Amino acid sequence: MSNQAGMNLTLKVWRQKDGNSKGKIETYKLADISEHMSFLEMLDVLNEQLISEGKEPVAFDHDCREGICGSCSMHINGEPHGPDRGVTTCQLHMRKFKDGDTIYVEPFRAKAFPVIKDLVVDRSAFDRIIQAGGFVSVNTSGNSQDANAIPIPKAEADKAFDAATCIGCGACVASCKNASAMLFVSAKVSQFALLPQGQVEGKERVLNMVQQMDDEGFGNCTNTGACEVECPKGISLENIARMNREFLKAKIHKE
Amino acid sequence: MSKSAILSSSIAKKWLMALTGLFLCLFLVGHLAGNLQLFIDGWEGTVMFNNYAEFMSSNPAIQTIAWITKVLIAVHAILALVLVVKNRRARGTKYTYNRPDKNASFSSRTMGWMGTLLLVFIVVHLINFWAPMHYDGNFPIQMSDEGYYTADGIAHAGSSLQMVNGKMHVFSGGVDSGRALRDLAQVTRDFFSPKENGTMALAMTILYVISMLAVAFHLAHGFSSAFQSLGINHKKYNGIIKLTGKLFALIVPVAFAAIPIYLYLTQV
Ligand code: HEM
Ligand code: SF4
Ligand code: FES
Repeated sequence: MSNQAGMNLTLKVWRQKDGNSKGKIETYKLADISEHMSFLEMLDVLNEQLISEGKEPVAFDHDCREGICGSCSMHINGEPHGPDRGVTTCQLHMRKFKDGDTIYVEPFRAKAFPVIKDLVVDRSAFDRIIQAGGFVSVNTSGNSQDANAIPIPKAEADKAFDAATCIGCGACVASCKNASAMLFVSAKVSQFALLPQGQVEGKERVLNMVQQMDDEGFGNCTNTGACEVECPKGISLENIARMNREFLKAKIHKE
Repeated sequence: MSKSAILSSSIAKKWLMALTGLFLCLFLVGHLAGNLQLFIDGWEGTVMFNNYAEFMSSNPAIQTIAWITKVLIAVHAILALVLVVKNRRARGTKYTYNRPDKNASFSSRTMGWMGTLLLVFIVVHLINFWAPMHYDGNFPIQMSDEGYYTADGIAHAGSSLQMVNGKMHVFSGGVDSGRALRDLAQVTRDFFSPKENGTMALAMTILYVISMLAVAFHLAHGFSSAFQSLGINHKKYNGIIKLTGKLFALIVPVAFAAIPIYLYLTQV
């Protein structure tokens, strides 16, 4: 352990009792924060401090704390998941901040992501979009098929896999000036559209997912690219272009 | 599915926005090519530009395209308004502290503002030149020592002007020689001339130049954005699309802006 003193920070945290209450920013001082802490560990310290003062701790979503579940949604100093690139909040380290910094922490903002409490938002709109995508037909005919029975070009398989790495964190929506969910939806459309197995229900899938996305009240993409910059999994805008093509193809064939 | 249902989809709106936007880019190229003739001074430039303008405003194919352009500007602008309003609503509560500059370019974040400026400019511009050219019966007519000119570019010695059905015609020896050739070249030069138009010339030169700055920003994002909207995103071509977009957004507005600046400075 180094015996250097840690950082002193001023936190400006969004506090909101529940979905029906009006929220506001509260200011907290934290002393001696180690640069080795993750952002969530720093919030844990804050909550211990609040509890010891007899105050309500800050509610925030978290689960895996290793960047794979996508639940640690928060908007830190004006960016989803904070200033670092390619990471979720749980992977963001305090060494990205300096002694004396003021840090704003707010929930992801979107009409389709209503606040439940403090920093916790309801992202079930994403689940409903996934549900709208439906199923993938697999012929089992009594036996399980060999996984590699259908040849798939390596490049396509890689792209499908890249799209499938989306963890549904919602940073794309949070960063987009239009609160558009197109990067998320396009990743989910692409992971199937790129593979032969996804073709059977392909047209229905893209139409239904886009319909659900619109019904949930997400905004319209204007290709600013903020989502791609902020996405912790590096999901590419290429997927949105693919979704736009898939959508047009499906529309033309269906009507 | 009904037509309105197609348009209600976010992606369908993107397609329409991109197609109308790219059509307007093509229009800009055509419009610029014609207007560059204003750099030709004197009588030679006058004759060339006025004959060009006469052709553009009388050829039925061109006139059809001109009206389609106006309709598509309206479609593009109305759709833009719908999108901007929807997108604002989609955010709900605003962030207390937000840093959009960290993840998106200035031009991409100001499409609505630059577009609005463009719309105001387009209306002012139509009022300045298009409306009088088409609807003002007393629009100046091209003339020289040889007399007034008819639309076919022929001068009629000892001719006079007379209104026929709201349009100016050239009469020589009491006979109607046909429609008169409107002198848009001189009207444009006078518009940006401080001698002819006073301080308005400077005000308009500034307005036109600022508006071209709006075009530059609108297209610095819009040009390549339209390709993405149309589903064209491929490693092999992205570089060339982005580069073409930036060059387009630089060259076209600079060339347009150069026209009023040139006309102003050569006539002070
Ligand atoms: C000659 C004039 C114009 C040209 C050449 C032009 C061109 C374009 C292009 C190429 C795009 C990109 C489309 C896309 O991202 O798919 C665009 C988007 C846009 N335009 Fe224009 N435009 C013009 C006039 C206007 C006007 C008058 C307005 C507003 C009243 C406007 C508002 C917008 C907005 C808000 C967008 C972004 C919408 C989106 O990406 O969904 N534009 N424009
Ligand atoms: S596309 Fe990226 S930012 Fe959006 S939900 Fe998926 S992982 Fe998160
Ligand atoms: S807590 Fe699972 S990604 Fe951060």
